Amino acid sequence: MNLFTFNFKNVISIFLLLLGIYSLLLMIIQPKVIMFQNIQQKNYSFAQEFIYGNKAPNIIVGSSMAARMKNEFLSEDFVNLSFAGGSVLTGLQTIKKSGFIPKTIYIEENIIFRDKDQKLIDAVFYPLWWKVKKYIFVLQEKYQPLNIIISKLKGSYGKSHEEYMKEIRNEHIYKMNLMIHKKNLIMPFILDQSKLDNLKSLINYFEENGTLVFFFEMPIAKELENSAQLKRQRDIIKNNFENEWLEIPKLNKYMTEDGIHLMYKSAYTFSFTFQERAESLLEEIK
Amino acid sequence: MLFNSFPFLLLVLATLIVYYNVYLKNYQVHILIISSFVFYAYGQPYLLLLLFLSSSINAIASYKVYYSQSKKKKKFYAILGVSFNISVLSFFKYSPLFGVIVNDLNSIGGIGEFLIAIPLPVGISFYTFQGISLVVDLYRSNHQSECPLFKVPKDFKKHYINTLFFISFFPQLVAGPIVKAYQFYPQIKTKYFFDVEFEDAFKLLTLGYFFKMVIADNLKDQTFWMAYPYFESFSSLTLITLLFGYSIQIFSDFAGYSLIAIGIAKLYGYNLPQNFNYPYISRSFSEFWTRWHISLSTWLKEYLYIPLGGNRVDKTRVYVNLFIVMLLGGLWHGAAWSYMVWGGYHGGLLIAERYFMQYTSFHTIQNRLLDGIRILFVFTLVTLGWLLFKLPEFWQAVLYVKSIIFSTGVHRKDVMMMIFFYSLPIVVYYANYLMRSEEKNYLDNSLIYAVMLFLIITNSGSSGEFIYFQF
Repeated sequence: MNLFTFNFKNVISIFLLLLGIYSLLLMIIQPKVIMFQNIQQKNYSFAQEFIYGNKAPNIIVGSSMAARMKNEFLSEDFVNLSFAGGSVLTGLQTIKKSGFIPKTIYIEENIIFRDKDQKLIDAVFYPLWWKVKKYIFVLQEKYQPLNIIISKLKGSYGKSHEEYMKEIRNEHIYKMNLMIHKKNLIMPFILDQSKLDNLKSLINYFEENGTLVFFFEMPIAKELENSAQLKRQRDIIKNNFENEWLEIPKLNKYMTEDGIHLMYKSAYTFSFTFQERAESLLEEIK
Repeated sequence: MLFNSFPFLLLVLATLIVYYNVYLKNYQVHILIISSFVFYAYGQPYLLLLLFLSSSINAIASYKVYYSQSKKKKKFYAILGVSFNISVLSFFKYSPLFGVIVNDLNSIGGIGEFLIAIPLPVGISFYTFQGISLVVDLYRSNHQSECPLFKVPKDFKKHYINTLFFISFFPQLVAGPIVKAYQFYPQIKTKYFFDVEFEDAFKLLTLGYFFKMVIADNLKDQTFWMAYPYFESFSSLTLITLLFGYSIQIFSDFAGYSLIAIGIAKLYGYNLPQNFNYPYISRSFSEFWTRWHISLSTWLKEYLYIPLGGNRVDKTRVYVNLFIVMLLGGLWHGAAWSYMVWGGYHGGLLIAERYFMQYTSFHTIQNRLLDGIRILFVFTLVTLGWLLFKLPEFWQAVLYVKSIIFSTGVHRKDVMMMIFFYSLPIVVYYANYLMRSEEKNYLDNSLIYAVMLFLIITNSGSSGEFIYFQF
């Protein structure tokens, strides 16, 4: 077989060989993927991980803000299905379509009315294909060769947990982003009724099936907490839903890197507080 | 229907099976028309009517141009055909732009909203240009001996079917290559399975899908960060890398699409013209336009620049002609001022280059280092121009350039690393072109095609529409 001239049969043979070897390696080694090529792919992979296995009884849904609570920070009873750049509706829809009924769902309220990512939902639940992907690892986004390479690089040369914990905020970037967020959050909030209806119907679906649904807020910079848009949004949720809120005290001890996203250390500590509060709230309800 | 979707693959396969059935060989054109209509109707079924109407009017006008006895009548039908195509294009493509202007003037309530709400039929810029080509080619073939001739069947029904086929042929319907009538009509005849150049089709399809699904779709998720206001918080180096990444993305996306279109057409026995010829190694802006979106630039040259006088007029008029053609070429891409500015930007570059070349002999010096500098210079300015494609508002593009110069934001190492990874194959693709000889093409081997197939299956990005679909 001469690899350096073109021959159709050789192409197919080498291709099948590569695919076979790679599939086998994935099955034997099961590499840990800790880094993704982009946000979109990270979201796909999180959704797939959830659909194909990672189904803890307590699920957090939200946006990139709640996504800061990494699954590594949470106990086995919790799974975070928050999508960067995504929305609560995407998370809820993914759980519903997977057919799983969790014990509790915690809904991040900060960015609650963002559009659901229909493209993501369609892609991860593509008819028949999503069932095939469950068994053929090589087709799962998570196991793309470049993800394995960059995860390996990050594992070898990236920052460790201790180094992340010591990270210092870049004040210049913080102030710059804070200004952008301030500018955006003073704009009047216009409610899209269809999104509210969608949220209601999804919450009803889970409650009818016995799931307890709670709202919570991710800590953000003090200057943004009571901006017009967020206050209005909070009112809408409180007026339309009777669900309990997971109140997490001392919001201001947490640091954000840009006004709305928690820094690593803060996200780490917040995740523990979150779980403690969630467990005690469940006790109170009992 | 996206080229990288299951429904599309099914359509191509099903059509192939029926198309090469020996019992149906007299209906091959009909089969491809039906498939093309299914392809087009999949996304916007009601706009199929417009495609049908456009094909019908072009069939009638072109038939009349060919068979009318008097020159006057021929001219009349040619003008009618061209006017119809331009009207359709203007109405559907530019009404929203006029709507915004009307709304801004606030003089006639309701009309602005109506104009803005007019839908943009996919591929309209491509199929109306093909309609114009048909009418003009036939008119010219009667009058200019140098124009390639093709015969129009006396039987109108046959010509009508051929025209429906020419306008709607699905591999090139929504994003080109823009096929000229004289290139396509002579190819319409019975095709045989054993005549298909499968090896060429396979290579084109593999390379096309690799460009689109592995390179462009993955870069798309990195260049996403070029949107306003995200880019404001990035460092100059990150912004330059993002812009470079977008330049590679737009090339891979469109060249990928064109390769797939040409490859699929080949499966049915049709040859579509080459649309990209390594544009980023151009040593001048005029060379760039002979390598980038070749079917559009040759269309503009043949049907607009030459009729305006081309190079045969005085210097000032040549400059004006160049500018008009590039301005309209820019506007062809979309109903937004930024596209017009983009066209004007390229027009300006072409004029400056022409002027410079008239008064210096710099361009005649042959030297590898100088060639490298020329390539880098052209690539940099072309890439800068893509900002007007990526950012929807002109002020955002200006702000982006300002940010490149003055930014003190963060380095996004992750984004830069990904752009490096995904741009590398394109750099290798170009390097191979520069180094290859007739005997040796380093990329034309089994291993490379197998690796590309492997990466298409295992490392594709999230599926995204082709950038040129919006035009």
